[in-house]
Amino acid sequence: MREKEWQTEANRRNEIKTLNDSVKMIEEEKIRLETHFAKSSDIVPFLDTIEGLAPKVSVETEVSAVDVAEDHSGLLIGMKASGTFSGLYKFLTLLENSPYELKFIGMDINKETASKWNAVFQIKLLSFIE
Amino acid sequence: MKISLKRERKFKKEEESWWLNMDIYWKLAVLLMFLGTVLAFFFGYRLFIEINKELVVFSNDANSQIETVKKETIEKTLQYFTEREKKSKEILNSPSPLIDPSL
Repeated sequence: MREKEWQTEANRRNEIKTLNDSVKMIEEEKIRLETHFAKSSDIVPFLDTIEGLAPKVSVETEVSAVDVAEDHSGLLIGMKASGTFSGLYKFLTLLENSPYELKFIGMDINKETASKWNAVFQIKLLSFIE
Repeated sequence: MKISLKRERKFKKEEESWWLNMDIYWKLAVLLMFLGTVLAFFFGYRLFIEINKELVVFSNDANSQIETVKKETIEKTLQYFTEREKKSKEILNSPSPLIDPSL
């Protein structure tokens, strides 16, 4: 009985060692993969990333609302952006190709002056961990 | 003279009985402390055994399966994001395909 218990424990330790080695092998990939997810405890890097895209295309942005979706399927973000039409278009395509998985819920765009457009849009962060 | 002897005797009796009682209380206190110490050791040992158990990661059941993600799947996902990053650079370095519809 004791011998069987000892054998089970030895097997378990071997499995843990194998698993630890496997985790070490994919450590680099794990770190890279984690950069594509936003945790509820730390959403600042995500907001910094999406806001950081705007100056690259000469667009001004402002995050107006951040809230967890009612069905807990993601994080809802309300954003206001202003700039040229092509700038706003580029900003949206950059968001589409951002390091995070985003879904566009809605968007409202209107012209303010001859060259300035204002956009209000709502996006959902799908790669969100609560 | 007679009266003073009586008083002395009375005082001796009281003193003896008081010391006797103190002895009982001390013994009782020592006993209780000893019992308390033994109980503390016992519960401490039990608690140590309880928290010293290792976290069981694997089930002993041979039929149970652990959900795993293949390395290829992770690499495929990372490749997907790398392509998106390349696309972002292309967007930044190329002119907008759309022009202002109001112009």
